[in-house]
Amino acid sequence: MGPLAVDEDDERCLVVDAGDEEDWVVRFDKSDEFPAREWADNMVTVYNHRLRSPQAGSEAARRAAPP
Amino acid sequence: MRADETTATQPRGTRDASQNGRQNGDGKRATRDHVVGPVSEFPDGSHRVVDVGGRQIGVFNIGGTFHALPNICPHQTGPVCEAKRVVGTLRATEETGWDPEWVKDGEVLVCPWHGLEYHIPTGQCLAFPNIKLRRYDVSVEDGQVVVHLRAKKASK
Repeated sequence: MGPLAVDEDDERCLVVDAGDEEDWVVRFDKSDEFPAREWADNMVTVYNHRLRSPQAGSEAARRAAPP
Repeated sequence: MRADETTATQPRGTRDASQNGRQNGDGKRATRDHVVGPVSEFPDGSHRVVDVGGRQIGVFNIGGTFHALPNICPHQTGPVCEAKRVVGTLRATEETGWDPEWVKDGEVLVCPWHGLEYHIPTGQCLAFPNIKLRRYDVSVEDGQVVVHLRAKKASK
């Protein structure tokens, strides 16, 4: 899957394929107690950075333990 | 390879769903069908990550019903579907006198990176009700497990 992006409306933030906003993978519903936009932005930032990293395509990198 | 191993495997074949008239759930765009293997390779209680249309998808057989989820955790994008086992979870409520009870047995996925739990049939994150994984359409046709993805958006 290529880069991700955030699609936001009044009710939720969707994390979507950056090349196809209708192709979503995760939904973050908005509420007063839950920072949906922050969660979505974080997911997109982390994923897209990993995609751009030189080791992103390696099996070892994909399975690596989290930092 | 054991059925419970989760190394991504390539789909066995792809076809345009327009050939059989299938439409995506929202009816807006046709889907593409991806054969990911015979049912015999997905015994009850097993799961596997498959590479479908350039993305990794976890395919689960729970009691004969198939489910498909993206292999990406909303938390830190870990390979959530590569969990070794599908389990249940503990829940304490007023109804149980606040004693923990084991629920959703065989329906819970635990991300191997940080342990967030997801209910496979719904995609619901158990710790954060505001988070939900997408559920892809999956079916069994002629003894083959088929994942149905929305056809890619046409280039402008």
